[in-house]
Amino acid sequence: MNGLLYKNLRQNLFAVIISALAPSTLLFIMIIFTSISEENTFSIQLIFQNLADSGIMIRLFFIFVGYMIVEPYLFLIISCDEIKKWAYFSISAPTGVKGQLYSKYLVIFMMCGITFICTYVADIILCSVTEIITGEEMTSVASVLIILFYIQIFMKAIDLPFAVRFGTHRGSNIKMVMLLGIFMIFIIYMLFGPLPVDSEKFFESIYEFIENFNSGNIPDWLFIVQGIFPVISVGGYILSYLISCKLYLKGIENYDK
Amino acid sequence: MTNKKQEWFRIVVFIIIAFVPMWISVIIMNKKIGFKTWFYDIKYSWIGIALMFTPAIANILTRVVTKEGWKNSYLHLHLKGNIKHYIFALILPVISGLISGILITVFFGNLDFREVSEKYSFPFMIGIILTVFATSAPLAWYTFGEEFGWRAYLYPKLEKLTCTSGACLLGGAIWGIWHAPLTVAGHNFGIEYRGFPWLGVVLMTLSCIADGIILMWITKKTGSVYPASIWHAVNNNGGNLISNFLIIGINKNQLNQAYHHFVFLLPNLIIGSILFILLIKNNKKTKNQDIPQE
Repeated sequence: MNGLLYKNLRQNLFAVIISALAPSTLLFIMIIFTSISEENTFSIQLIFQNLADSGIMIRLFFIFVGYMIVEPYLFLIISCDEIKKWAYFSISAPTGVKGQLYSKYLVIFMMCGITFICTYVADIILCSVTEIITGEEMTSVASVLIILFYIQIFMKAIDLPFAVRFGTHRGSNIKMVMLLGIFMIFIIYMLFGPLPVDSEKFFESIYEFIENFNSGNIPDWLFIVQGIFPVISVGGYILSYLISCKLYLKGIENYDK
Repeated sequence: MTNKKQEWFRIVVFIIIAFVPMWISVIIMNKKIGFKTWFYDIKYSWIGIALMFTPAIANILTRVVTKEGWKNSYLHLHLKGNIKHYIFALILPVISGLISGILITVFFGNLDFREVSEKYSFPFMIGIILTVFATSAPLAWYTFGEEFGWRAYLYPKLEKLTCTSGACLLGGAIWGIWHAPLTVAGHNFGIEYRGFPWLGVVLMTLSCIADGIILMWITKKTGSVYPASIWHAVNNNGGNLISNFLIIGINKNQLNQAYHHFVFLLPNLIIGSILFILLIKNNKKTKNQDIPQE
């Protein structure tokens, strides 16, 4: 088992580094974007003042983009072994299919954890530096990051069995079709569903909701959802592993020679 | 150097590396910035995180400096057969937090628990408990910094050199004294109790001995440092919060005397004592098994 873990980490070291650095680097790149202002004067104080004024939505947007960058790299852990000969060889080891997939699921979980920790630390450092320079307190997005971590795990719990059964290429196609379906439903709703009359108010309410969520100012039922969702996502991840174990042998047939 | 001497030397190196940066930075910051500012202000929060990692850094540096290698690092997950211990680590601090709240009310409150339902809605309480579980597990990386030093290095070494009870008492005392600069600044029990600050240091050391036994038991059972990190994270993040639900009929700001804190720590002291007996029994059993049968 240790060997498989080591192999997966060694083989995908670049992916692990990307998962650690992408969202946190984007957080720092964000400083450049927020520094663009109408005033022609350039000062560190002004840059961080703009950052402090920009609110949490901009930060969350950049973090979200970072998570999107990490997404395909998580699939590399599965795709790196999509060779028929190797797959048959690896499952002939004493640990078998379960060991092979356990190591992959564990490395993906670890990468999600690394992404979360690095983003968390980067956010704290950014908040600290901003407060030191401007004297204004910038709220950390820690609460949202924790939920993002569980969402990432939940998404992987859905994705991975498809990738194992149909291969990462076809698996991601199926995922695309599913996402397209959801997008179509969204479009249909936008065309025919009841929409808020004042769109500005609508977006303001979303913004307000996220800010309240981050500061823990949420209704009781959402506390329960916030508490149950991690159980669902981690439980789903374990279930996904068990399903993948059943599908792996069938999936190997789709691999290249 | 004999093996025993070398092990003691490693412990001394470990303690120096774990203590010196932590004590010096905390003492300086307490003096220059003020405890409440540096500890609670987001501006300095990264310092707090960094300081929690000094035991982990001490573990790594001691192994490198003394050329010890990476045997018994306790870094493996050992999930197989140990899921129940992981769940135990997640749930136990919440249960002891709830018992702490009940005990405080029994000893100092008005014993009318109907007020609980009047004050908080049931979904809110369940939601908060679930949220504590949900948020604490990912935040176990914070506490990993401490656990990787104390439970994965110091305790096993002390156990080898002294005995299980020696490791529990000495390890807990070292861990408690490590917290002393924070305790004397009011982090653990405030500053308003009689006997401040030394009684606080004694109480913290007592608490660390009990908590250390719980954590040592979990670490020995699983052979992994992660369940201990989870227990520590849940305890730091939620134990207090959850006990607040059941503290009824008393102004929480008045619960500032050492005996209040002692009652609060009682559940962990009891659990620690039970696990201490289990550790000793288990140790005797292992020793008996090691003696060759004639």
